[in-house]
Amino acid sequence: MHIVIIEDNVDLCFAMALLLKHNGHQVSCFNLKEDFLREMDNIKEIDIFIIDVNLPDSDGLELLDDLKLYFEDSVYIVISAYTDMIYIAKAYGLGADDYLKKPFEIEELLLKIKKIETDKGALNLVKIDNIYSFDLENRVLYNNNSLVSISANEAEILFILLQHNSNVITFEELSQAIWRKIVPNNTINVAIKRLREKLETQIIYTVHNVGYMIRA
Amino acid sequence: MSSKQVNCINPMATHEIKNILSSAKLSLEMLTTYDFDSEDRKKLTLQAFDSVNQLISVFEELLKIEISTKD
Repeated sequence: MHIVIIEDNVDLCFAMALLLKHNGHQVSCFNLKEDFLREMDNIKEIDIFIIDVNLPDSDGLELLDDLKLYFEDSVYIVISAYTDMIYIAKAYGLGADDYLKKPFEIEELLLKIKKIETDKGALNLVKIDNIYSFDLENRVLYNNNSLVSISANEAEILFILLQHNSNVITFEELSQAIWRKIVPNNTINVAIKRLREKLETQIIYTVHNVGYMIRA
Repeated sequence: MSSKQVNCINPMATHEIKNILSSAKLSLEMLTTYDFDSEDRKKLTLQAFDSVNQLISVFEELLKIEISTKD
């Protein structure tokens, strides 16, 4: 996950970034609100913000309030040495998802990140039937908990069909979405046949002469 | 007695102590938990020492205030 830390304590910022990178995350550190705002346009997707309440150039809670307008889908963890309920309540009131009191344990931070990761994963995971599920974000197909090896085009076909769950996707629509041009129906039929061969159950339905559909 | 002791440390000092303590604690905990490369270990060790030094300074200041208040 991409985690942005906005924290003026340089040492703490370095330690948190090192810890999170060591645990497989991409981390960007900023010590001032202005530093982040300068870089904001260059950062595409942010999964988690960790924001200190006390920044030299801004109130972290006001920054949280502003950022929520631009990064609606991000998760916000407020970090502070303030343990008064008034700060905690204000943070939650402004839309913080979690509050981390300083000083904190390594495990406490990692558990919070893990929970967010699990929740985000659950949101992206579509259950197709009793056997199969599909991770929409990472385009990954699972047979129960085991990963099913499918090609990029096959994953894209499943993605398109699941996005239009229970609706027919025409040959033309599939063609444009996957190959970015009109391809013969037979090309699509072959791709679907290969995908079906990798599956134990029938999850893709043929709508004769029209296209395909999935019912998840 | 105990309520007087609590009031001796003002909220700003408490905030500063917790802030410094958090980087010292995290740096030390990371040194004992993970096997980072030598450069990162050196940096974590230095910042842990630095945080402890800062903490000592803060407590020295608090002690001075405490003594001057009593005088």
